[in-house]
Amino acid sequence: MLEIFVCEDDPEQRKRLNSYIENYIMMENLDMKLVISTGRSQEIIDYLQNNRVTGLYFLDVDLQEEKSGIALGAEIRQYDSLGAIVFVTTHSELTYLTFTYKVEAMDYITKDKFTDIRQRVIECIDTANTRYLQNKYNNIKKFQTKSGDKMISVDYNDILFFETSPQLHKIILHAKNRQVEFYGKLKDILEMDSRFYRCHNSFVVNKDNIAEVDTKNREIRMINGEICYASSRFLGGLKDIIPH
Amino acid sequence: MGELLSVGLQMLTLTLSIYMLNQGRFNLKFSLVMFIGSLCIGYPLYRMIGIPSIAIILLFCIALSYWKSRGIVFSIIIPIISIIISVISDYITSGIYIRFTNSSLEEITVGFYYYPTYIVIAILLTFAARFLFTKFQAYELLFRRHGFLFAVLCVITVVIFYANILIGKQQGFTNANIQANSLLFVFYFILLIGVFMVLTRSVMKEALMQGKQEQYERLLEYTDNLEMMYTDMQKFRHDYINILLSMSEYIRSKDVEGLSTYFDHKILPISEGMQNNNYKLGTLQNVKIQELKGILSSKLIRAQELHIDAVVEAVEPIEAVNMDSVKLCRCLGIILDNAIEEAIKCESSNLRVALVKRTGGVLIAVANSCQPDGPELHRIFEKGFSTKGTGRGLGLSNLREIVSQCAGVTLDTYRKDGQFIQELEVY
Repeated sequence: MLEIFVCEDDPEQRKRLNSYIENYIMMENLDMKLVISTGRSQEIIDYLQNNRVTGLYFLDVDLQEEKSGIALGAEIRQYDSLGAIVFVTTHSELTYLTFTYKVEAMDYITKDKFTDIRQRVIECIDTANTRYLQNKYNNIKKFQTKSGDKMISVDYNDILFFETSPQLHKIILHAKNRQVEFYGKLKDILEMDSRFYRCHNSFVVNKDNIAEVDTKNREIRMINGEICYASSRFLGGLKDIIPH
Repeated sequence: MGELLSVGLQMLTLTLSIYMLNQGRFNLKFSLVMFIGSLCIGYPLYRMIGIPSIAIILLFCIALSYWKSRGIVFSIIIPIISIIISVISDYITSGIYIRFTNSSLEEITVGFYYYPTYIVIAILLTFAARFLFTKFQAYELLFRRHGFLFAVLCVITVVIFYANILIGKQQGFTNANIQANSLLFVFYFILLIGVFMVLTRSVMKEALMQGKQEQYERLLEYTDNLEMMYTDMQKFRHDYINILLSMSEYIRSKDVEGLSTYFDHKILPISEGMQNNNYKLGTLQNVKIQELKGILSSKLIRAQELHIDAVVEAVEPIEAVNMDSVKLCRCLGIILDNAIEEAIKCESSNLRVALVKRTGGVLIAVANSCQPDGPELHRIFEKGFSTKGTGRGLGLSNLREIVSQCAGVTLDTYRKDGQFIQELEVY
């Protein structure tokens, strides 16, 4: 069950949020429950400390206490890494990316006259629900690695190849529509999946995404046209794998 | 046979030095070709015309380097430095042997230890040269501006060296002569390096001044922006009292309808005005690094002038970023320029920059709207790629190069939901 939390210090607005959420759950008969609706952030933290939760959180950014909504979100993250956080704010446009990067917020709702808050709340509940169900029933295998504070996660199908950077221990992951650097070792990556093949001292290629191998120039053309290099020492191993 | 060996070894050290100084830009196979080629040209020529044949070998090496690398300055400088190294190590070796064994030149060159010593000294000198070279090379500016001067200087040095040798040969080498020459050459070489260093320092100073000047101009722009914001605030404060007065007037007369029209017509537009461009850069005050603030404000103000919806987010104070500030500014400059160039082409163009503190460091994210049918991501990282025709696309490949030089800095580039996003993470 997805548990819903609301932290909003204005009683009037809190009541409105509650009614939107509860009505929608009832109407759609969703497997969800509004567990806590409060003006004090500590209540949510206390609850999380005592229970294992996958939640959906509606947090006001400007709480009338020391802790801002963003800090609260970061704290929630420590207990509930998969939860969906939605910020309710008056000045969203100025902090949108910050929400995303600081606490991996799912969405934000602007509190102004022009936004239909009810509609936005419903949208958020729907997204969170789909995500929750997806995580529960369907674990698509993803390549995951940690780089500093950041979790890099890429579908195995999207990975083209890995390349070492001139900087020691730095690796560049080339994927469809993404190039990302992280610290690691090619050797460890090689062991992560059987699709990966060491085709060069500084390259590991995803065999599934090879379009063709040019043995003469020792180049591997990937399905998006990008070129990955192979050395003669490792080229032999590619011959049996690739359809000519 | 002795002659062949002597020429061969000299060519070997020469090509070896060239190979080492190029630091992996030439592969071994290519160097082998160069060695064999210069030997084939060098040996017969040496038999025919003697020492001047070195000029032709030099030209051969330069031509080959140029064919391979396309950089004219380095193709001239590197072979010449290699030759200077080989001449100097020849002299040093002779100098050492004359001093310690007191034998004449003819005895030395046929001696067993002569060539190994010569090669070892040459390799050591090459390492030293390579070290200096990498140091200088960090200052691209130096080579861009004074590369030609260096090349000329190197050519003159070689000419002087060989003129000396030729004259020496005509008059017959004496031991004293050789010793004097060795000293002179070494001294000359040191002088040359000294001149290089002084020049480097002055160029660096100049570049630094220029950077400061640029930064100053950017900050000026920023203060202008702040002042404008302040004037807006003043205006608003003035209006505020009037608004309250007229609202209280409506309330007193219980004219709800009038109040509501007044609200819609007068107050709502003001709140929209508050979302004016100037306020979108307001959080820049949290960026405490002057250089960073400078580049962000100047690029974003330019973006706003181009009618891009540009916003900067810096919720927490950013006091330090663990990266060389010159490199950081160059990276951000490239990222923002690219973002602006791309965003401009979109219908609803927007550009967002966020500076986020994380436990280990700082994340700088730049997101801009992009065209749905843009080129493949890997293409834009290729050297020379640009959507604006040839000769411009150094941006992103440069960015990757700079980032790859910095430890603890990673770049993440991706495209998602119509946004092009670059994340620069510094630990």
